[in-house]
Amino acid sequence: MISQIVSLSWKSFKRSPAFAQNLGTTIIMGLFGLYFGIIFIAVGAGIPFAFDETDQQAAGPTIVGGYYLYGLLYLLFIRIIFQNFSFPLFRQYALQRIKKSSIYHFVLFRSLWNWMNLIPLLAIVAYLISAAYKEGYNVNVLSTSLAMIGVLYLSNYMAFLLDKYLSFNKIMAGGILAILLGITFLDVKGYIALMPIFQGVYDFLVTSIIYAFIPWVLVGIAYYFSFLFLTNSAYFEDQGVVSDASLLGVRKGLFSRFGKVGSLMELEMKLIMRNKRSRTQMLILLMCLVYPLLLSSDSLPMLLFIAIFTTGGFALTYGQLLLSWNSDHFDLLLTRMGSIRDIFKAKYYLQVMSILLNTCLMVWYGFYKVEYFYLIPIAALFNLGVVTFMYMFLASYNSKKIDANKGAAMNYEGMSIALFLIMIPIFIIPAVLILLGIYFDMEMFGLLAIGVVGLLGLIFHNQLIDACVNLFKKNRYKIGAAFRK
Amino acid sequence: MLIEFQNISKSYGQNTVLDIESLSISSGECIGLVGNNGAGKTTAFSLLLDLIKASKGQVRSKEKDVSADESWKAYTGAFIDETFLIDFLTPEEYFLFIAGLHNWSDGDMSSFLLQFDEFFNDEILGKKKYIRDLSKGNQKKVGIIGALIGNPEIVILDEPFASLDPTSQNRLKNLIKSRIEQHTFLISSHDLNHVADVSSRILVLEKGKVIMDEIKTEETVAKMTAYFEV
Repeated sequence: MISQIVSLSWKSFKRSPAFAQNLGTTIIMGLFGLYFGIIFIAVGAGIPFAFDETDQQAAGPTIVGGYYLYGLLYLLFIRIIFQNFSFPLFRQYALQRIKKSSIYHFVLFRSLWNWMNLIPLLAIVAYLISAAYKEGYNVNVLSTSLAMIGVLYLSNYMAFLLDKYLSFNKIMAGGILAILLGITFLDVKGYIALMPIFQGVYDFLVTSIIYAFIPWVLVGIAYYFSFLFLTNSAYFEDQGVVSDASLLGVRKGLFSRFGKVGSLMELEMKLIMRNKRSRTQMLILLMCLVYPLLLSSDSLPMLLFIAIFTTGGFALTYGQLLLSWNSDHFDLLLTRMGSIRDIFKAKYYLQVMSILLNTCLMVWYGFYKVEYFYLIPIAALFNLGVVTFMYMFLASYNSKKIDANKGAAMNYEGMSIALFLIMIPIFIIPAVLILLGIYFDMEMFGLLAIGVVGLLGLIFHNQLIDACVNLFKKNRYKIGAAFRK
Repeated sequence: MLIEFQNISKSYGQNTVLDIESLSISSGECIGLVGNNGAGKTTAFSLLLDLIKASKGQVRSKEKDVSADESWKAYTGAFIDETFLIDFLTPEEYFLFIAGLHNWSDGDMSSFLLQFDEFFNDEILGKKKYIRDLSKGNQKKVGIIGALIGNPEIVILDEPFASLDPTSQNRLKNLIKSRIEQHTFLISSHDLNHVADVSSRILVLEKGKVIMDEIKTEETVAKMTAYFEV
């Protein structure tokens, strides 16, 4: 029975439009997967060689185990943000002659088949092999692997239970992550000592094969409760009573005073906030705001790239799928009064607003690295006048249907090679300008040129929008047909 | 003439799905379009709404080619399928969004919606639900009323009776009849009975061609009924 479901879901994956029409994208995403896989294997395999035992008070494996458990605590809440706990599989199988319990078991097992579980697994296996290979780095392979994998899977089902029983939402999870970061900071500074606790737990678990089964017992319990939840609640009555619904005339939005373009902007804002994929992308954007802290560099081109990312994060993520976001109500937009030009304008202004907002926030990074005082505004200009329009032009060629309400993680519906290729000019143009500047020993001129190119785009934005609209009109039947699929 | 199909055809490869030599619709008519599945009803509407490109010929609305001039959008309302709904809005927000495109005030909107209390049957407004969480039938009601916002001269409804319950079907028929002075309706259905109840003129489509085009009388309806009984 289970095997039937497995074969059905394999077919649904293989025959999904994203897979068939988009072999190129699939390959690129596969390569990305491979790249990250190799990185994690390398990390796992490298750990036993990275610690010099004589330098440390605790034994190498204990240190590794402590970090691992610490990391899993973070992963638990990251899962709540990214992992998809809704199971669209249900409906189509519920009426078939498949036992309901088999569907639930399948759903729960399948949740392990997830990149958040697979990638750590790769690292664990690599670590164990490498540790066994390195003499003197003595781990009990059997009990260690049992304990480590058990704890990993425990966090998988714990996340499910938190999501379902305590109805943890993404914002709460984000809040807890922020608190955790604070605690870790105190830990690193030495005010509290959390790490020894994790190390103690790890040491305890691996001392004996019997203790190593403890996480698995807990996995069993968590699995049982998850199963119980599914049995009790997997009915398909309509859920979703809206709490913030604005009733007629009760609440008018921010932009509605700006006429048609304003109401289209309002529509886009609601689209972003009420659909899963766009909402998750906005959360990722929040992380973009700390990007300059994560990546430090002294080379000017690198700093400029970081500035482009941080000021244009919204334009880069939202702009990629510019029209695809509206694919499931596109015919309405095509046939209604508001012209296509208004739609493009609304989308442009929305991106402008986000870039300006980010610029105001990010320019203060100048106190952290003085170059940002001028790099951020230059990057903002480049985003306003060049990057946004590249995506707006591309939208006429690359429009694919997406379901905006599907989770964002590893979701490449609507992506295409063109979207990866367009990244090249986005980086090449500033790189060429800046390198020319450096070559002639006039760095500032290179930067200035980038700013001027952006400024020109901004000044002529009306003409550029017109050009995008004309291009769109030429391709409108093709785009409409793609969205109707 | 309000709408003219001039020598229009649509084919996909060798397969011609619509082929109309000439068809004129004047203001104030209520056109019923009947045909079996695949007869070309939706294709005809899609051409009229410039959603697909004609293989040859053109559709003219108020003397203007719809694919070259956008002015028809100001006086045409349509509901073809769920791609005309915005599923993450509540019905109220959806109506207000369309009203905004037609520069209607909130007051206009409220008094407009009051007329449809019976049709909505207390299941649409004030329910605090997104359109995606409504039943198929209720979604259809939202789409149909959305098509009427802005008092368009032309209203196009594709299969409006399908997936409505019998009471709602009757209420919809009354609603259409009561607004026949205000709009020129184009309504399609695979069920001749529904169309015969509301239309003033009935077209029968078969494999992309108009094979009957009659003013509705008891005799013409009887003739068409006989045709579909085969």
